[in-house]
Amino acid sequence: MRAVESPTAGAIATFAGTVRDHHLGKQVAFLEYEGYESMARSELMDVIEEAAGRWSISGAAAHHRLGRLEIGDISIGLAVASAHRAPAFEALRYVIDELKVRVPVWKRETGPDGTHWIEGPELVPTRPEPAD
Amino acid sequence: MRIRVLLFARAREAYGKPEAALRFDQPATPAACFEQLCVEAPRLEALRPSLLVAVNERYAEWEQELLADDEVAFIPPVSGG
Repeated sequence: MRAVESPTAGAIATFAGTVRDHHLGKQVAFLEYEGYESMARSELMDVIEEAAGRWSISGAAAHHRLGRLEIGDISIGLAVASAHRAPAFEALRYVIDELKVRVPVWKRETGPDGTHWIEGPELVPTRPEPAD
Repeated sequence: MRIRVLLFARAREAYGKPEAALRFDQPATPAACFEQLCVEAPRLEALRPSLLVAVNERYAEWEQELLADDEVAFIPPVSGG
């Protein structure tokens, strides 16, 4: 929030993504996030610039955590500031929606059934060891 | 020319390593890089329809012509957030 505070802002909309204990009906014990960090940063910056081009916002900040996160941990925090609340909400929604389809970050979930990569809505078994 | 290749998530696991250094005598594309990796790790092949390509940290085409020292990444469907 502090990163986007300014005297011109009348609204700061925030979003926190948190680690859930279930996914597609399966129990989840913990998540591990992996990222292509340099590209994730530049792609996220593009998304924020697009949002700034479409809505009148005075600031935006995003932070995505990587590595192992436990149930309830915050995986991503976003904040968007604007003179008024409507553009702040709309730009915030745009940034998180685009992040989820474009920014190169992946999560792997572990539960009682084993470990799976999440690829969009699908569960994909992981292959920790070479099979050939 | 040398090309640095990065693999992530399921592609990294299928290849067994997070990166590769490839050398080409002729013009190369991300598709040609992927073929070379598949020779080493044939099970990568099955992932190809789901993968996107990035060149120098930008989404790119499989047939884009590469320049020396480009960084190519193979990107499974993302799931951040």
